[in-house]
Amino acid sequence: MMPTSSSCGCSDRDDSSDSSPIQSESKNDAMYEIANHTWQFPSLEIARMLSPKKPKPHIEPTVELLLQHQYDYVVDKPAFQNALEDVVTRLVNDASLTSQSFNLHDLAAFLTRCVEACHDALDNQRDFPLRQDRWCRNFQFTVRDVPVDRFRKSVRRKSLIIGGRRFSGGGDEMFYGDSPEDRPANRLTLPVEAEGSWQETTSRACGDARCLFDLNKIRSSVLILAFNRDERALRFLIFHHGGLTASEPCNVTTPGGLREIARLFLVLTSWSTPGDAGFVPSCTDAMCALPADGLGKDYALAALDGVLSWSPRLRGRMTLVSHLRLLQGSSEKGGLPWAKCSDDALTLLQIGRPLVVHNTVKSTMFSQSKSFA
Amino acid sequence: MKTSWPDTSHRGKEAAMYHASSGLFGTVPYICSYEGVGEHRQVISNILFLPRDGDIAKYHWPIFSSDPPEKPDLRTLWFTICGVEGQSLVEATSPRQLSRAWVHFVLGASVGALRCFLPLIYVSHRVAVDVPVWVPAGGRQHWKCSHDDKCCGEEDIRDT
Repeated sequence: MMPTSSSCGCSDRDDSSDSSPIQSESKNDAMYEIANHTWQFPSLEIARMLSPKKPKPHIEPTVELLLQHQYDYVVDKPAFQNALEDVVTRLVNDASLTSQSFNLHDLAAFLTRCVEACHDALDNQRDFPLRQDRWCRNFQFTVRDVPVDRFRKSVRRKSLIIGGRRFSGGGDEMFYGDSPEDRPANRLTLPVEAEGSWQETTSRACGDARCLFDLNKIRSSVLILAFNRDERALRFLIFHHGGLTASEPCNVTTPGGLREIARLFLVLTSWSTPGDAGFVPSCTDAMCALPADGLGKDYALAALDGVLSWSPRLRGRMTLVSHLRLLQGSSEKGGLPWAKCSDDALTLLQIGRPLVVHNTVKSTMFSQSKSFA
Repeated sequence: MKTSWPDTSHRGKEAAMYHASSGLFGTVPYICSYEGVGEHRQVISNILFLPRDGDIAKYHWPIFSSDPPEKPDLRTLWFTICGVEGQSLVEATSPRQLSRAWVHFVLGASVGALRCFLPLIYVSHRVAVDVPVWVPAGGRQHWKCSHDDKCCGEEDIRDT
């Protein structure tokens, strides 16, 4: 069995005991919010949910929601299957997984090797983004101290495996995105919770998800990894506004489990856009592209200057009311540029006329976002 | 700007409500609402993460509760843009503007007490913590008059 965090040499200022009032309350809140809206799917289905995708050629996006069969998925392409076989071969030959001393550090090293194996496999295939354009570039997992519950301003910390980019390597502290200016590299992107049961692991993952939603309040989903020490199995947890969707457990010591883990990590490695990672392309926590006409083509950039009202939840409306300040373009009276839209234009906007934001502007928006690692 | 994830059974209802009540009874002027879309112009929702209605029992994960929900919680992302936030009563430029703002405040407060037009009422009343009451700022606002069709449409309240 995997040793506890303290036995693996990590800080154990946490806490993890249920006697902690803050942690217990947080768990209860999370369980109440998620309630029975918890789903689990086979790993292949989860891979399709997370996969880069685009509507099939004959599908024209409308106000209707697109269903699963109306997309083409990267995970179903032959090149992806070739890369998957490559990754599986590398992971199955990894003898460290069967070690009895499989602790948090070993798990972090294994996850990092998974990402590296996926990068190497994708490098050998065509039709995938270059390594420097991938979301998980320079990605690594490490064991660090993080706040028990940043949302509740807890000062206590716990040891946690976290994944992210551009780790500075200095210092122990990690941050849920809004790191201080002098330590911009220590941003937590992908938390990994490891406990002895799925309920405990998932409860803790709920706290991590709430922190990540609190950092980027308009994101559509949050991905967190959950590891069951007793079963030595990994789940990919997707928190969204309608509950929690998880993969079925993938055992890290069996070839079948490793294959499913390889597939899911290969999907993550093939991400290249904010939308792939669960962010809303037209809006970050700091900037938003607003429609400037009724056709969905023109837009104006605005900064989110302050939050007037925020309802942090794990499931539900998660209403956010914030100040906007236009960064370019304005009407002669200082109002918003589309305030003089015709009624027809407003009607189009009300039924969800698509707003297309060019990639160059999107790149600028997300590069200027503090919490966007 | 207000963003929220209403469930699809209420899709578009807020927009219609905001449009009908824009600038009236203490609410802030409404500009537009729209549904967020992704990189391929598809409506942003959580539909891909949820089972179909007929597969609820098959895919339910009894981690927190053994009883599955009656139906999946399907939601879409909505943006609502409102106009000026408001200004203090001392900024009123005429007795008529002051009187009108006061009447709107009384009506709005009554509605707010009934918890109807939240959270926009909340926003305007939050401002009222710092200033006495919300007043529509200058500029062209949409007003609707029931007694005279000629009055319907835009009216510059700063000039009245």
